[in-house]
Amino acid sequence: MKAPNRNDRSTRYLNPYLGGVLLGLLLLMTYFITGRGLGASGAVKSTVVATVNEITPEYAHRSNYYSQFISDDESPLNTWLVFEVLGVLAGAFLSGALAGRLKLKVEHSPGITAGTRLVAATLGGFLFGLGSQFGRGCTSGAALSGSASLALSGFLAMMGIFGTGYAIAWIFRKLWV
Amino acid sequence: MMMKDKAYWILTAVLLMLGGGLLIFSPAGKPDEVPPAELFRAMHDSSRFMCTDEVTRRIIEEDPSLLLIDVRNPESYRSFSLPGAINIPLTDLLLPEWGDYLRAPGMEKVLYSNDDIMAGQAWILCTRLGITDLYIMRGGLNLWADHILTPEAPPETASMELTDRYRFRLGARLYFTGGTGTGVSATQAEPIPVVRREKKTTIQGGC
Amino acid sequence: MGPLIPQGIIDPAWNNVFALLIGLAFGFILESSGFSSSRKLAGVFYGYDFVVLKVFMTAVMVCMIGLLYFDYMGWMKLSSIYILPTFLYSVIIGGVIMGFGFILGGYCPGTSFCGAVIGKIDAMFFTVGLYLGILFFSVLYPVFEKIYHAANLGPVQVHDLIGIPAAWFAFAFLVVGLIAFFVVSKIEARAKKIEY
Repeated sequence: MKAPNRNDRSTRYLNPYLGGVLLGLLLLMTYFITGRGLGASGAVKSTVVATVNEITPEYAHRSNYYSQFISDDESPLNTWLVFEVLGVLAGAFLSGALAGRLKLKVEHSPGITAGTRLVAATLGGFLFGLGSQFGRGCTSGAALSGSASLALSGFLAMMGIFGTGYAIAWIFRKLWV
Repeated sequence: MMMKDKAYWILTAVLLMLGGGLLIFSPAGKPDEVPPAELFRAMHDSSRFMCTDEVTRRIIEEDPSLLLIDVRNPESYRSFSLPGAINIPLTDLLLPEWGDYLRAPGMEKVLYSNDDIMAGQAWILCTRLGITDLYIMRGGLNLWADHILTPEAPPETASMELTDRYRFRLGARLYFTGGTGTGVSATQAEPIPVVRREKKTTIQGGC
Repeated sequence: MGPLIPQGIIDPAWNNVFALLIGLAFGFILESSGFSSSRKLAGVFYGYDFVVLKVFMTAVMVCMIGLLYFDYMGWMKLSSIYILPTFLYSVIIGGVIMGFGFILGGYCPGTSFCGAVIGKIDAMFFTVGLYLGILFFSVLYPVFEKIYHAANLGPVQVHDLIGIPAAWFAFAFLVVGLIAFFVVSKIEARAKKIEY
């Protein structure tokens, strides 16, 4: 809303409270239909399991980790979250297309180069992926769905993510402002 | 300015109203439980019983919607129990792990013990927890054994209905005893494997 | 009665169809709220844009109140939905690592998918990082296994831990959240405008 050039369609976003209410209702509906919340990192986990199982099936079956997610009659990709994330991709693309935001670019603060941004993004993704496994879910699966269902772990994950974020924001301010 | 942020004030008003409603409706209440008056009514409703013949018929027909629950202790259960019954000792009834069985949708849960007493206690506990489709096998295993394992022949002059029931019980006895004739004592019966159903659906989550 | 699919009211065969549809709405809402832009997301940590906090907290409040009403009306018992179990050490470690990931990467997994699909190259790199991070965890799982399973408190809920009714907790959460929105909007109005 506070975007500089208000006339540009691509910087006009939904009112955050409206977005929040819609997201909350969607999450509620998801619980009502499926008994579980939303997620995101789980789909990447399934992809990891699927590729490892494809490349070295023997190792995958031996490993305590991968074997949890492998069954003989089903692809590890056949999970609820994988389908959900396919939907996310489609939905985000649709929204981006309608708002005229489809544009290939590296978004970065003027203080850093695109290269720095990409390195930081990859490293950030790496850490987020690692953390999401410890947290048994990411911002959507643990913090959002967890907190909404009053799970202690959800609040701990939320406080962990945002608390750490604020604690270290100053150190990494060059990346953003 | 902030005051002009209409969306914020609408959100605040609606959420506070809904949140306040929650406080009023369900303060410390335990909505899971059935109120005493309703429980009292249910306790005096004889349809909570299922007769031994009905249970027997459904065992023989392998009715998939029947879930027999033996509430006696594990030793008694091991020495004799009805085919397909699961064992939930009365003392363990409230453990959360049994929730899946007791709340299984579309299943008619039949509780039994040696007589009506323990099954009756279990029935009251479960009903209080809001579990439905719950029955007691009237007379318990003792009456079941009397009726099915040692059926009493009706007098010659008995009605068709009684004679039919006798025939049914004779047939059932054959079914349960494997045709070895009369006088099968409970302890001789084959041990029935404990049937533990898989959970209907496991809800998984997280990402 | 609910949840509909686990209770068998809707055939489980529909599970994946609902997953797609729910995902579609999820992605649409995230993207149209601006979650496809890392600089908008990171604003929450630097005080120039609190959209993350607003959307996220509003969603938590709405869903939490909704779940409690559903529970109260008997439509869906709170005990019948998946409650993420709490493994104390693991979740705290995970949260801290994710906090670092958020500041460095500017995205979280769900939002990076949104960014990637509308052409943000940094978001694509972030998802590659995600893949590598999870691969790293899974390969070193034997090392992490012990801490991963330590201090299991089970599917514990906050109000149980504090010992107050869920409705009270939800109401308190609501009040705190709404006050926070008011405060951050003030901060936002004062912050240096950032162009992105």
